[in-house]
Amino acid sequence: MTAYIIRRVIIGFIILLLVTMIVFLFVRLLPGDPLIVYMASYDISAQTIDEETYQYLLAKFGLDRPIPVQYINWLGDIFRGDLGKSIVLQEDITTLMANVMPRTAYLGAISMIIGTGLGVLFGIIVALRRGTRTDTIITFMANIGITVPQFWLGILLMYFFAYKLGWLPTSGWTSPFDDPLMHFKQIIMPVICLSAAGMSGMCRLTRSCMLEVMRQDYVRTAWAKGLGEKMIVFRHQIRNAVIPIVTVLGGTLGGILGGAIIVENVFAIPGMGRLMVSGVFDQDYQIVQAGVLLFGGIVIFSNLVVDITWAWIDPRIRYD
Amino acid sequence: MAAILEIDNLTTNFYTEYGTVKAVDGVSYYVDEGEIIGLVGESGCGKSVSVLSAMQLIQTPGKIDSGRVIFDGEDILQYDSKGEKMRSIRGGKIAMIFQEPMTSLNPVLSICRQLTEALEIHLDMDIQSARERAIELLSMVGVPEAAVRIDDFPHQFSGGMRQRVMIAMALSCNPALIIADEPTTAVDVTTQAQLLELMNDLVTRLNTSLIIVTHNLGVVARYAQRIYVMYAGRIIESGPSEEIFENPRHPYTIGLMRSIPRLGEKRGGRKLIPIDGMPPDLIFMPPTCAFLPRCTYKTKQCQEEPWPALRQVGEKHRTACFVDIGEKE
Repeated sequence: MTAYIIRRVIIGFIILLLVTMIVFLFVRLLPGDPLIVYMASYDISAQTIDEETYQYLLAKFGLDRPIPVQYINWLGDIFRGDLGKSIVLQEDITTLMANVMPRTAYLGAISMIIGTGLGVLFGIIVALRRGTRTDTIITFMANIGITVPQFWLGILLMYFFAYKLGWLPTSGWTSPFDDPLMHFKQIIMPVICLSAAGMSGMCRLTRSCMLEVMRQDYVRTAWAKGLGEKMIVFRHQIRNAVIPIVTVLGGTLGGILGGAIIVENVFAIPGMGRLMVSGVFDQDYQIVQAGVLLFGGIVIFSNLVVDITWAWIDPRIRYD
Repeated sequence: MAAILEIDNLTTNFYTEYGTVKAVDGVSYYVDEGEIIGLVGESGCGKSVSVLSAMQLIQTPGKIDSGRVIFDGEDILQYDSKGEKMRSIRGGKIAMIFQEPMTSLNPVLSICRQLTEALEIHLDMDIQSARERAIELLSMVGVPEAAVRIDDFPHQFSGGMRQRVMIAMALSCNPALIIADEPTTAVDVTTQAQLLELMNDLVTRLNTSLIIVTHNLGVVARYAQRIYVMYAGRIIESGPSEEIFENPRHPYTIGLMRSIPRLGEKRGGRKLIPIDGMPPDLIFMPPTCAFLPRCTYKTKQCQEEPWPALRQVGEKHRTACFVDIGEKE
């Protein structure tokens, strides 16, 4: 088990390293550079700037070095706990993130809990009532939920609940400590958007896993022992059905973090997703890199947790 | 001796999208107290379905359409399949051993948990005494170091050992009857022999009745007191084991006997004769005897009249054939 965890941690680090390398390279391959935006804030356009100043600025932000050298330097800073400084915003990224990340983490956690919780619950219900109208309706909804684009769902919700019905505010963010009611109203729609896809996927997966497990020989054995249906479902079926469900949780979290980038922009929530999108538009290399590092790290870490949980549930893996 | 379980005119159909599969078509048999009977036939003849029907363990699209299963004087088919009464019979009074030891145990639960849960339900044992009983059962079925192995998981057991666990599980609540559905088909020959000896030994000692469902004639020959031969969803011959082996009266049984080698036979002395043809499609059953196309004894009567009912050909020997083969040969 310990060897297994160590192996997984090492693999996780390698993956994270590769992810950062790719992002590091790709943001630099894009046309344009962050200096243009930086200079624009000083009312200097790219055409009028003289070569000497431009070279000075490149050197100032370390952009004159070859890309591998830049990468090594950046990596060194990371290990010293320094995420770098935003070129455009001229602020420490650590500070920027410390301000916005809690909001994203908060929304993400709520969406994750609601999405997987309800998804698994609905999946079990429809599996136990397969072929009935409940099954047809919920499975149909889940198919829609899986395919609908988040931004479109967001706009649709806004249109109906905010614009037509006026029940909820269209967008924005209020701290729960300032105005709990307003805060609650504002997060309803973003949370629906963020959890819809995960919930639907979870529902479908749970349904098929449960149906698969129901046909297993050991479930027949459990029936033949004279156990009641509840005990068979909870003790014999769910524990087996949950194994594949747990494995996709890491992916679901990744989906929610990715969704946060869209949803935070649709609903004007000043979170990590919004910071990253502005970073991309401004070609603010440091923000994009740090954001990807953070999100990538979270996804890799959660997958690690998932794998360990998996080994804990399934004794066949535990003793490897 | 009174019959402990009596299956009377049981019919189970599977309603598939291709048509109705008549898996079990009016089957009747019984087991006496402390008796071992064999239910023999090739794959798909309905032998497993008949015992699963008796336990009400048939899943959709399968449906028990008619018949009675009398246990302890009551028709247990009338019980709700998920209800209290049926559950107290399953595992408590009639226990089952299944074919696939590799998949019949739950991979995520320890052997202890899987053994104790039936004890807790049927015998109202608390966790501690159920565990002690489970260890006792495990050593009884010949699992070495039972006290240690009890906490292992199924994947840490070999196929034969898992089947021993299944036997322990079946015996745990002192059932009146054990139904073993192809108990040794999936294990190797030496293990087969050990398991059968073990089962035979235990049921004899505990005076438990046993139904062995198998396609292996050697198994029933050695252990069963009476044999039922099934073909295409029906019983086509029944009688005491020696009688069936010495003097088979149905062409199918005769074919089966000719197709198996016997120990002590001179090599090349007798040719093994397979039964030509295939069993019928259970969706499109002929109105006549289902064995007719493969039969070497057929007469004009066979082609004109419907499938004959079982008729007496010996004191306890019955066959479903028009032709009196004993006379002919």
